Amino acid sequence: MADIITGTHLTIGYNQRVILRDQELHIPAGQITGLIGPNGSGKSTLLKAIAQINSLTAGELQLQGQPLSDFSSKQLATKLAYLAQSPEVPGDLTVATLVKLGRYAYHQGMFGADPDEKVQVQAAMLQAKVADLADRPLNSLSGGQRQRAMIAMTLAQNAEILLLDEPTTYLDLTHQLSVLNLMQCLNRDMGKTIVVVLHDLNQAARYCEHLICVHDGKLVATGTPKQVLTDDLLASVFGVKAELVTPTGCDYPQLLNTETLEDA
Amino acid sequence: MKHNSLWRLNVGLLVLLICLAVVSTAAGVKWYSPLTWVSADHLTQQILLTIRLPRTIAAIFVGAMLALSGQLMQNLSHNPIADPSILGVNAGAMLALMIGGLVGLNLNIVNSLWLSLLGAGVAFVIVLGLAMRRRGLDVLRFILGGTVVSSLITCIAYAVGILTNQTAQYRNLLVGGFANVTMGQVHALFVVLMILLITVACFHNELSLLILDDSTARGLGVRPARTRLIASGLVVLAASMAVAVGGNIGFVGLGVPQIINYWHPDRFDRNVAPTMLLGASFMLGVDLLAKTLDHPNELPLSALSAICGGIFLMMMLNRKHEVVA
Repeated sequence: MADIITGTHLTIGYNQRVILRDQELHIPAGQITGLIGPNGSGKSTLLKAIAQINSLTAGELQLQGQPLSDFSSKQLATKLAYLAQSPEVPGDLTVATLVKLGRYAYHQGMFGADPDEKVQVQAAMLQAKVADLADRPLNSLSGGQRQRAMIAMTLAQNAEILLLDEPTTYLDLTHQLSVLNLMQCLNRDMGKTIVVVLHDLNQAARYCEHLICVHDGKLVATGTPKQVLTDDLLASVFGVKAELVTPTGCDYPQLLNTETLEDA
Repeated sequence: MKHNSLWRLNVGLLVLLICLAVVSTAAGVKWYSPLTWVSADHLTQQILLTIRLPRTIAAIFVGAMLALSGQLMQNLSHNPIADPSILGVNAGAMLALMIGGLVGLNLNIVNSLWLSLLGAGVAFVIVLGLAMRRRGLDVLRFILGGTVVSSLITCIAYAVGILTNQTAQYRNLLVGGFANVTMGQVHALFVVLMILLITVACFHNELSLLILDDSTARGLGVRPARTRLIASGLVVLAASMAVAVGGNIGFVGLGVPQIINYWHPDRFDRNVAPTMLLGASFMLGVDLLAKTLDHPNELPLSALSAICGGIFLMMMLNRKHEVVA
């Protein structure tokens, strides 16, 4: 599979703390790539660097061969849509108003008109399954509905690539699954390339075709869930041991009876 | 709320503003009925045109500007209690005007404007500087630091007034008022108001996205630092012009955007018009009280504004039971 985003000699850090040192990054086109790693390993920082929210200390990121730093911030927003981990949004905005904010990059002319706004906003709300909530204020929604509304906002950007930073945090299990299923639909039906930071390794293995494990300033493992999730990696990166079981009819492993190595 | 409710709100507020403007022009030391305006004698028409009308228009413009600057500030800081008058901006403008007057500058329109711009700008940079952190604006530091800086500057202004025995001369600045407004000041207000409106119209999409956190806004293609700079410039310009003409008037910037957001919660740009209209009506109403309640004396505008506004806001808080951050 061709790479849509490549990074060479990536070094990322702030305040003298180096998060990533001289690493190569490959994000395959049209797949769901999961970024995994322990807390503080730099998954979110890497995602923010791809979104050009954090700058690189050294190295270069390219989108289909073109350096990301060449794009203006508006151009970039039409190529990459980034959803922060816990976005700060006023609760009295309605879903439709929120989704319209996603169209910022398409506003043109002196007074910022957007001829496609209506159509695109409606389409984004349908895709994220929040069209029936259009006139509801955000603070009247459940956590899962709110997260889907936020995803609708990023879909209104009409970007080929979605960058999602822990979209399932603070959600209960049903809502986690509804967000992950939505992500899968967007990938399968619309061919979106998705890069997602996930904490739950079982969910990462199940929903991602490609995993990148971040640890100790390095991208320690890259590949399919089966290639990445090994006994060695679980021990050296996460400090746990588990039975790695491949469910019938699936090609990805799941962790059973996970225990920390310290207890063992 | 439905789409047409914004239209109804705007039209309703516009009608209210026009009614208040007519009553405010008719009222004063002597009541001139609007029915007699056209047929009035020369002297009456002179009074209406050179004293009453400028005062009415100035109150409308200043009220609209104060409301806009408060709305921008609340949007900028993600906080409903942010307002240039409690964050030191108005106080900075006031102190600069007093100092300018003391060192012997002629406080004509041009001098007043640049002095108040300078004072407001310096105060705002100090407050913003205290509150900026690597990740963006720290709201709590912004509000607390602003309140402290504001009180400090206000104290210095009063001290300067008392020590130099000039309090009476600066009464208008300290307590606010439109009693001596001239047509020249109205023209200056009009120019500044146009600059504000055109800038807001050009950047309305960006300004609306300031309510999001920096990461999300950048993900959508906004440059938050640039947008913040534009918003800050507008706040300082609006607040300092308002102080240069009307003196230090509180509450309007704090309460009016809140009331509009309570009636009609929506994104920043859609609420600009109703906020400015209500700010203008509020200012006119308070000025009307100031000149008629204790006839023929003028009551202090800032105190009246704070009393009316404070009561109104307390009623609102009581009804809403929550202040959304």
